[in-house]
Amino acid sequence: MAGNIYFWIIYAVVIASAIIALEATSLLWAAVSFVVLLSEIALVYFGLNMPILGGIQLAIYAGGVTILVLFAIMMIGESYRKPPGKAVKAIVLSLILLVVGVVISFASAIDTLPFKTYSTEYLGTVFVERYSFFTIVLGFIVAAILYMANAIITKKREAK
Amino acid sequence: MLLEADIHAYLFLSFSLFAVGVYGLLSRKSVIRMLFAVEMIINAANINFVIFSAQRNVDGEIFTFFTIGLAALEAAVGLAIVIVFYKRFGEVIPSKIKNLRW
Amino acid sequence: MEKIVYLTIAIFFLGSILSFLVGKFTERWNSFWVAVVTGLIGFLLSCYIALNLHDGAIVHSFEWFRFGNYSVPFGIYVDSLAVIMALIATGIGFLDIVFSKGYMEEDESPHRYYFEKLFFIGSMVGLVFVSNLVGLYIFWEGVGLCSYLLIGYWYWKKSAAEAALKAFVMTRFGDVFMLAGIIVAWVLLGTINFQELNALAVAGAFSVKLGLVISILLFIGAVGKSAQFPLFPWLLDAMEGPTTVSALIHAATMVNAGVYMVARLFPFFDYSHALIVVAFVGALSAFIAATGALAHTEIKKILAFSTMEHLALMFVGLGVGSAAAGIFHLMNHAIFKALLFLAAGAVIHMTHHTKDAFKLGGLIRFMPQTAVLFLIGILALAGVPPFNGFFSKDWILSAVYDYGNPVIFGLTFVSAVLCIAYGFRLWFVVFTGEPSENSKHAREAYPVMLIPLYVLAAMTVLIPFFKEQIIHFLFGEVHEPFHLNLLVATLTVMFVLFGIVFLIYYKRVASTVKLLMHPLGRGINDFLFNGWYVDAGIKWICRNVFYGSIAKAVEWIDINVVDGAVNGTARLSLACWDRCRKIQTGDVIDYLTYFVAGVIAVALIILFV
Repeated sequence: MAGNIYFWIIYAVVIASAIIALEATSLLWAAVSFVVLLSEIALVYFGLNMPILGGIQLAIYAGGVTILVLFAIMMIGESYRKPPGKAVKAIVLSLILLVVGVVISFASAIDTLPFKTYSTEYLGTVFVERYSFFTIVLGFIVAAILYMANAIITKKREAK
Repeated sequence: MLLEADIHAYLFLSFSLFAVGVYGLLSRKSVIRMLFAVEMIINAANINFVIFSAQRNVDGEIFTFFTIGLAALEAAVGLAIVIVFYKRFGEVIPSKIKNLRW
Repeated sequence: MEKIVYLTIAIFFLGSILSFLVGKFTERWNSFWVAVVTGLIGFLLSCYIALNLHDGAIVHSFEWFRFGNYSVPFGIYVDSLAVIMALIATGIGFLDIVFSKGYMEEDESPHRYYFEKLFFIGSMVGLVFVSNLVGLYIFWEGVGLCSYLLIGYWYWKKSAAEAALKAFVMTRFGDVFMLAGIIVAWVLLGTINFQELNALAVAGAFSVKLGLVISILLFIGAVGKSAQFPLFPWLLDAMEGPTTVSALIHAATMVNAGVYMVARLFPFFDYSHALIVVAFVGALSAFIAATGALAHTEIKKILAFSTMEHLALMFVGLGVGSAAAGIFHLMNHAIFKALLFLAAGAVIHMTHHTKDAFKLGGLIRFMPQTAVLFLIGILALAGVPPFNGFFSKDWILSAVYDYGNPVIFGLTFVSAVLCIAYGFRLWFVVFTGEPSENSKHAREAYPVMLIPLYVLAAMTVLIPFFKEQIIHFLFGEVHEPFHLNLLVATLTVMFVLFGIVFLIYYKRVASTVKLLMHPLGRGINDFLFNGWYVDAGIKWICRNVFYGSIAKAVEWIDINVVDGAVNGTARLSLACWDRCRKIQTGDVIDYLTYFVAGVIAVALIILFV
């Protein structure tokens, strides 16, 4: 686990902004912090020599999504609640996840190449040819489930 | 290069972000915060894709485009739901969304 | 000829249905005329069969149905024994139907009464005509059913309904054993035909032990049906039914079915050494019944005890090896007991259903003809010489004397001579003395009731004249034992007993009240009155042994194992549901927690497994 000073600065900023985005009292400041977080990740992409990806990240995330979030905040207003008692459980679980992830990243054979290398084009072709039918059916099933859920909710509301 | 780090460091970044996201998802009671947390988790996954594509010979970074698109979509739909929900119930507390419970 | 036999059986069933329908859809009492005509035709057909029987028994059989290797036969075997039984059933049945016109005059549903009565006579005729045990069992249950229905004829009376149930259950208890006997005989001996069974027994084709088992099982059925110890209490309770029913079913015909079956399988029982059991049970029952009759106060129950005693005497007669004596006594008993019951019915009917003999008195002034007819019945019952009861009873006593078992002889002798005591006690109490309130309004019975009584009374007098012919018709040449000293002793004891009863109950020189005041006398009286507490004993056994252990155990198993399994399944799934339900809080965050925990678990599994 080695990196230069810039990497660790970015790391610190990313994690700090993420925590602030979750913990900030004001939703607006949380949104701002969220924008910072997304921009930092875009910076990571730029640093990894992937400028198009970084641009899209900036445009869609830091631009579009943030504007949507801001609109939502504007419409429903500030609603802050204290962190509930489940925070301890959440912290424990997330720490466990972190440890497990780090252990995996070191323990698993990251450096081995994949058994077969497929191009993205090939994967897309296979997906469309082999799974599109299944996906369409799945879509219908999902639509049916949603429709049923809607019916149940409507009925419950009418019952009230 | 501005950023110099090995894959383990990037993975550590990714996992850290992921852990914070999970923490947020499990502890927040506001839907918008949970949306933030979900976006963090997605970004953590994106970083993984990108880092493997950049430092190992795995062509995964293309999925990042899809993921970003999907995430934007999800945010749009999710926020729309939030607003409708707010209109109907006057609050956006996910533990109150129990209408489908048996 | 066999067609006429089948017709005789069938005509009663057809007549019963017809009488019911006629009574239902036209004037109710029209069913009486249908019943009378049916009974008369049936009786005439029986007479016809009897007169044409000179060329041997009528035998006919066919396969009724078949299952597996077992072919169930149905057939008739009509010999002189069967035809005499049929004559008793149809003849007394006919007279009883006529008598019922008077007795049941206030009844609301005569069509139901006559339906059940004709159905009973049909079943009884079928019972005596069939040639095998399965057919016998079917008709046996048929008469049991009619007995149940007719005891509970006044079903709105709780006592009648309970008595009917008791009779049904108690006879069924015996019938279960009888069914077991039939099955054992069928499976192990391969036949259920009476004649074949008897032939096997005569040939000695099976072991005595097997024969004993089958005989005892069959005899338990006979004990239940013929009200012998210990299955007799139902007969006393059966007196809750109409008196005409008691006369026909519980005195003259149905209760004889057990005796008839033993007589029918006489060689079989003889070979199996089961007759000694029959004799002992009979002697004990006779003693219980005679002493019970001495203590009881209700007219009908005294007569019921007397019926039981005389049935027991028949069993003793059969048991000591003299089938002729038993069957001859059966015939005589049927006649005089029907006479007694019908006369008692006339008394009860004319005194507005007063059943307690001690609440009556002086009735000879108001209904002299009935009194005389009743007296004839009592004389026949007691075995006073010119009447028919004397001949058969004396024959049985002589046969028992020859048999040589002192216990059987002692019990039989005591109970036989006690007849005169309880008979005259009853007669004196009911017909002599000061008229009580209940008997002051009595008047002479209707002619329709008196005519059957006269016929029966005439028969009690006339039968001794045809004794030789009847015995010859029934059994061919039979050696009749005769002991002059026994006869003299019997008559002397009877005369002494008559004197005592005469002094106590007619002259009233001594009162039994003082005796009954004394605790010991009271205790003995209660003991005899309640039939030696056999009924209470049966109840105790049922409650403590059957209910207390077996039924409780079965109940426990039913509640805890069977129901427990069913309820347990429900409770288990309910508990599972209740536990699992708690996971589904409906809170998205909880679901997410489980999801994350699952992810961690999967990751750990991938990592370490």
